Amino acid sequence: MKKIFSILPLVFLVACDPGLTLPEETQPGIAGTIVFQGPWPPADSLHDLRVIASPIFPIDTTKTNLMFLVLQGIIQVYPALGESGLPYDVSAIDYEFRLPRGEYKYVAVFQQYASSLVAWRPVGVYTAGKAGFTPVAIRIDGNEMLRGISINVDFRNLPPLPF
Amino acid sequence: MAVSLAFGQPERGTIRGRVTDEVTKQPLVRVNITVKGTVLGTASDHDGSFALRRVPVGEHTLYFSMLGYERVQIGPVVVRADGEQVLDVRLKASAIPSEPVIVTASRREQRIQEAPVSIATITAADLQMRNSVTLDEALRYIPGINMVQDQINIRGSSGYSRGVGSRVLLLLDGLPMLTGDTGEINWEAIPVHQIEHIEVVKGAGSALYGSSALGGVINVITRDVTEGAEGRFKLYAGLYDSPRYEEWKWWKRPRFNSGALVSYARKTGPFGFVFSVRRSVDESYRVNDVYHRWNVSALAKYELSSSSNLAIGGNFLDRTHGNYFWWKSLKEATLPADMQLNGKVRSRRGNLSLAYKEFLSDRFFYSVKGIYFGNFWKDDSAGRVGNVSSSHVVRGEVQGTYEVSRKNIFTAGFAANFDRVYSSLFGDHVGFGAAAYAQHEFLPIEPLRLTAGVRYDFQRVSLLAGSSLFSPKLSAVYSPREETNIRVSVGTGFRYPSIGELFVQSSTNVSKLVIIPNERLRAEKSVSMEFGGSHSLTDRIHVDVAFFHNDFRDLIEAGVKIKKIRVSPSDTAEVERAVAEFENVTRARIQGSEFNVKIDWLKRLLTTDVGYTYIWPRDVTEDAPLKFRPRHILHGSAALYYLGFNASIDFRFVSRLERIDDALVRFAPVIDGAERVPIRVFDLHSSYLLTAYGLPMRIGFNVNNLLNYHYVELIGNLAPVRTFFLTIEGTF
Repeated sequence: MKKIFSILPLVFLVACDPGLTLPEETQPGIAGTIVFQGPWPPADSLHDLRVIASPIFPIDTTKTNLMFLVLQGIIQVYPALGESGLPYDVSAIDYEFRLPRGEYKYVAVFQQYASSLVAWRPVGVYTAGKAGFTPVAIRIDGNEMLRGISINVDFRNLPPLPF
Repeated sequence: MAVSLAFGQPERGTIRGRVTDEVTKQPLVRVNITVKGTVLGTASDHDGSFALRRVPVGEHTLYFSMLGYERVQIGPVVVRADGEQVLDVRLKASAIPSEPVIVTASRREQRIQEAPVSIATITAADLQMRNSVTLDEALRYIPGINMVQDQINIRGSSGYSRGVGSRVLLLLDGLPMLTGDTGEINWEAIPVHQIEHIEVVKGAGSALYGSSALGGVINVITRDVTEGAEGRFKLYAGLYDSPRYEEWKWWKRPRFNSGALVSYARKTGPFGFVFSVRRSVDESYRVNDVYHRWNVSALAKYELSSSSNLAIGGNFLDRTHGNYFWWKSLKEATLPADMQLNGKVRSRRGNLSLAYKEFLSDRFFYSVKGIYFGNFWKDDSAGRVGNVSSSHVVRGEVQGTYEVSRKNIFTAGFAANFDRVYSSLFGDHVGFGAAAYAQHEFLPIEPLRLTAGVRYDFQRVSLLAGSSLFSPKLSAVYSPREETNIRVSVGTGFRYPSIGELFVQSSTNVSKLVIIPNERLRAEKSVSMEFGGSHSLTDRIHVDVAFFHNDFRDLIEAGVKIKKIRVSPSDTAEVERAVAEFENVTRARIQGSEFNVKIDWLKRLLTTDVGYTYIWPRDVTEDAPLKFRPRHILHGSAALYYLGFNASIDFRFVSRLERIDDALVRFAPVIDGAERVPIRVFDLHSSYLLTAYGLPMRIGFNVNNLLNYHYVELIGNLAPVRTFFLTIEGTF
């Protein structure tokens, strides 16, 4: 009988465990506004448009490539692959990008300019409002949604490749 | 013993009697009764009585066997012309599972104790107690097995393929039941109510059974038709409980999983048949996951003489169900992703089989078997037809077994198959194959049984080059005492890629992936070793231990990657896309151990059964855990039997999958597809027999997933929530 009572706490623990739970309502990430300036590229060179957040900068393309890092889950993409990208021909858009906690050294808006999956280039970089194209790192701790991470995209003046 | 094979009608008599439990004196239902050296046999009916008619005059030996009881041999029983012998047979309950007779390990009847590999059995009573509607539900309770939804995985042999290219061979009365296009198991095509018992061989069995028996073999043995006429019915109604989270409850009215079965069996003289119809509807706890099924099955047996019989059987399934592949997200775990919202799949599957068996003497018998297995399915979305596929498989087999003496037994056979596939997804293809096998069992010294066997297979698909394989095996069983055995076996396994894996091509499916063919696929192969033993401490405690080691080469896995392709044949340029294809990518090693202990308490009032399997699955190429395999599997059950009342509780634990395919989750995409937890599920079963009140009926009440634990077996697929089942079944 003692043995039976000794396993009761274990049974209780198992009974209380719900298994899968709903995702937390507040998830870590960044949010802000993307402002577009200049004429939009022609439709045949505008295949996709997304925000990326990379913990690596610069990205050493002699060892790897951008898509491989996306595939491995190292570089995060918004909107998620499989969902439609950012809308075209708008002057500004608000975004909310859920990200795992950690430091992101390079946050940028990327344009896919041809059908090839490697035909991507940056069109805007998060610089914390400073002039130029020097990226500013972002650190996310806890479940905070960092707001005000706004990015300026000027199609007449594109930033350099991060490689 | 004499078997009359004289010309003309031999003189015959009858053996009848009753089988009861030695201690409780209760009648035993469905005890197998066979006459040595003949095809004559029957099973005891609901009050334990049996009758064997048309038994040739002479002296005979009878075997009485039933899982959970010691096998009894009675003889010589003298049968006189037109005479009647009456037997009162009492069976002794035993925890030793070595007593049942199995047929899968060596393609002949033998005691489970003589089998050189790990074998588990499920009885008709187990299926009845757990109210298993389909076979895969019952297999979840076998140690070493974890189901990935309806895909079976024995000791880590299979990963994620949604059933395509099964590494476990399913047999129905010894005949393969894999579909011709995708090489997968369709559990619903098996008539569960006609099952006598199921044998599960853990480990490679290709030396006897050929392709697909890489991870194991499951043989479903159907029951004999008993003397006289009997009608049976079964009604069940299941009610899905609410999930723990309101966000997952989308239904306004209760959701049911219900069904009805009616069967009729009759045996008069040498002819017997059984016919059944089943209708079932599962409304599901998930949107667009409704299942509607009609099953019709029939079996006719004719005893041509006391030494030969002929059986013709058929099963047909008509099924319509929603095309639910994965959830929209964890937050909306009972909704499918948008592209699957209106999809439907309609399938019709059927098989027709023929088996002839003849004893030419009490030491030599042969059998001739054939089966046709046809599959048709089509899917559509909002009324628009998507893929259409049909496959036709014909298999034939001739086998002979010669018992030179008790110490020397030869088995040999020849098998052939022909496949035809017409499919918008796989193309139109023809395949054929042939195989020959031989096995010798011998006892060099009395307690040591050695087995050596080899099989040669040739297979060719479409215009691809044919390939052939040799599969040898060697095993030994040492039984110093009746209650102890030590076994060791080494064997090879292989699986030819299915037509589906070779030729699948789809750029428009529920995922964002382009699925491309790979005609360069080679057969995957394995070397499988096992060392184990079993021992019974008194007749109430039985322990079985096994250590296994499997090396796989050219393992076929579905992989997702970026590749330059032409999306459609009309495209002139290649573009880079995320693709899925089957490849010979992996060298793998799976090692582990299994421990099983069964104890009878309080004079069989209470039975406990605990099985633990440790699996160490490694991708040797990548030096990482194999994807989609658990490390630990634990099963436990406790069953109470008191007069006509049964109650049992089952527990399943499967550790959290250490590794899944991240690229599949990312590119399919399956939102929150990486979310997974260990599986910890309790099921409760109870039933009460009403025969004491003069009603030949049983009522049952089950609660599946008692604690309403939420988990996934397959990525992005919430497993069933708590479900309450009420069952009524009986005879008329």
